[in-house]
Amino acid sequence: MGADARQKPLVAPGARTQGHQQGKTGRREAVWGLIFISPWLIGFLVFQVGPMLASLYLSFTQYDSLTAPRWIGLENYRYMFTGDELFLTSLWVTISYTLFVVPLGVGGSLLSALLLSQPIRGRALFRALFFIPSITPAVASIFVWTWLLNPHYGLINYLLGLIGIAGPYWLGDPAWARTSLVLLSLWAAVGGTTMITFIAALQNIPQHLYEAAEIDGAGAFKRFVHVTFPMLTPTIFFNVILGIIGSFQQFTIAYVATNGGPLYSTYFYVLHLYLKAFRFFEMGYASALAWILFFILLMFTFLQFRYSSRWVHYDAEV
Amino acid sequence: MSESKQKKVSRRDFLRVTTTTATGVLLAACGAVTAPDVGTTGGTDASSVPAPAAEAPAPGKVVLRLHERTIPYKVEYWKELGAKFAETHPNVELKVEADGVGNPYNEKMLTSLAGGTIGDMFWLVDVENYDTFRAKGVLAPLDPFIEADGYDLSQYLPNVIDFYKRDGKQYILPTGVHNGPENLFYNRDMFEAAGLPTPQSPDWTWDEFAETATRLTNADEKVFGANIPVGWSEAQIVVARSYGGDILDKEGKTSTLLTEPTVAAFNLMSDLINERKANPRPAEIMEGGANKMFAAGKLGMYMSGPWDVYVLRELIAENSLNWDMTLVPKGPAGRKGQLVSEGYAVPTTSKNQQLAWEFIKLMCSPEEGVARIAKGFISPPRKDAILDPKLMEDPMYAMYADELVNNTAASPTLPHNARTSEFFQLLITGFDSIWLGKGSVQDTLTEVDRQLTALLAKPLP
Repeated sequence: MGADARQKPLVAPGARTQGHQQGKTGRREAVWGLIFISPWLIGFLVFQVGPMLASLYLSFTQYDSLTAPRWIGLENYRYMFTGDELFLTSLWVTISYTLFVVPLGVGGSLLSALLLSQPIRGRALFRALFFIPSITPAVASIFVWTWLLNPHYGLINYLLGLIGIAGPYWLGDPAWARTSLVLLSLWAAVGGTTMITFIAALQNIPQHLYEAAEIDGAGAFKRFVHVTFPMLTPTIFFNVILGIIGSFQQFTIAYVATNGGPLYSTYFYVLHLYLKAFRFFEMGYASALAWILFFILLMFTFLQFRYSSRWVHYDAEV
Repeated sequence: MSESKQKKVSRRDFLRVTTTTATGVLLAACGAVTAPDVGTTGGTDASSVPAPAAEAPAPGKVVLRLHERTIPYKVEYWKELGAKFAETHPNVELKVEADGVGNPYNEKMLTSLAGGTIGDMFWLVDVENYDTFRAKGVLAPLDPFIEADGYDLSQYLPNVIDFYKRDGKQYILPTGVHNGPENLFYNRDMFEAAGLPTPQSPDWTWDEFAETATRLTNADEKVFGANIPVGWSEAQIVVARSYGGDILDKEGKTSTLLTEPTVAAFNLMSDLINERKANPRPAEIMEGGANKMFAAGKLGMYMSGPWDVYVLRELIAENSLNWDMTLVPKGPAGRKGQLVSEGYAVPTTSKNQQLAWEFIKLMCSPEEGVARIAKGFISPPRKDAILDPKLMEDPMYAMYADELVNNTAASPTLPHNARTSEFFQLLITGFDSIWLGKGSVQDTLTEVDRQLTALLAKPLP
């Protein structure tokens, strides 16, 4: 009797036991399922899909946000690639920012994760301290950093002065502004959720692999290169993709700290988009910029997935 | 088996019924919530709630919504003014919404207008988006109200009142005017310590100014002799005009950046920053602005608007620093200001236009104007307020007032195609290479001239 009860699933008579439930109850179940997720679904449609479709339409119009949009076809896209000098500038600024922030951020988080996975005293406290910068409100921390980086009155240059180094103009120098923003971003990024994912991934590496490597005579460094790193590649892959998507959309630090200056050295793509949309009354053009960004990121992500098999080892391959 | 199945279904049904009822109750409760946030703490009210209709306050009571920038020292002022207005209009409650400063404020106004959540009045200044909003037809003309009341405009400075008139329609009744950064604040103590005569008479020249600034600069103490706020485009215009140049011509259609006097003006500013190192670069300004630097004793003199009188009074404790105010130096063409005026526009969508007009009249009354000037606020553009005999007893103020009233010839020239924000954005970022010492004045002006000409050729946004 017991065995029978386990084998017989509780379904309404007449319903199939495999795959989707059919029949009256099955449909009712499906409808109720939809009703229960409807709040999220409605929110998604209204606040995400709807605006996306609207912006697609607007990208073919000239729209100043105050009067009705005027259809102009591909004019926005044509201007973007032939007339807008700042389009390429902003793209280049964003790419060069990404080239620094993503490797350093992911690498830094990996390093922190390795350090914070060691059996050290006060490890929980250290983990908390490392994590705090990533949850400080962005605008507040940017203001503090702007103050710290002031060439004459800021703490950073003061400390550098104590050891005999004349600090640069940081946010006021076109050669250093982007570096300053990279530093600012890394302060918040290293030790954040990226590090958490690495810590979790490190804990998931099977011990027996390390034991096998030790038996083979591998030192700590070789163990890292041949065991730890390959087993972490899925997490690294995940974080790099998210990192690239995130850094391409970087806006707040440029808007708050430098407003794109000096000399457009921190003129990020999304800042360009924002200014066009909300300061220069060109919402249609900004929508076109948004869609181009979408395609760029889509392409990046696709390429990464395409070539991931060359370097990412999933568990099944061990 | 079937019994337990029935029990299971009935529990599910119970859950479904309660969830549906709960959701329904929740939605009904959300719909009934109104009351946008009160006054002065940044404008993040629930944007999903539509503009408050008269249903929120008590029956017969009207809420007049005014959008203003976030200016902490004006909080008390609005409370008093609201109370004063309530004396003659007991059923009206004034709600002032502080929506940030600078560009964030402009962006908030744009999105409020686009989203239909704008109130009954919002602050506009001529050197920002006034022209664009007017061109887009979102401002309600005030002529019907002016005519109905027989309102007297004769006391108003003509250039200011005319700026807000287009095609015979008056769009704003300006509540404030100032002469831009034409005022110079200086640190008496520093002048005494350096043995220099204070700029008592505002008849000194830019050369004397540059010399004085160099003498007051102390690189070791990180003290700068002067600050011409080059990152503030109106300052560039004031200096350029004093040399006889300007950024744009009178019609706002052509760039005059490469004319000799304008180049000379920029050479002065570049010299102060790069050669003499007596003027900080925009990036070197202490957090909080030049007035903070001045209050900390790190600036000998600086150019700013008249409102800094009030700001400095707040920042500088009694007897800690002796400071004073005068006018900026004269250039070869004399001293020309950059008249900047502001007012509160009434959007076409407001349902309380008559009441908004009454409130604007109160703000623009001579008594209110005099009271504001006494507090250090910028003056309404009325001769009877600016030249009030009691106020004119103060020689410092008299100098400022005299300059203001007789300087009305220099109203701002703005791009004819209403691309005001782009124009000022260009002036702020375009000259960076000069202030950073990375490009020559001539080369940078040529490049900005090219970009400015392209901007002026664009159609209306």
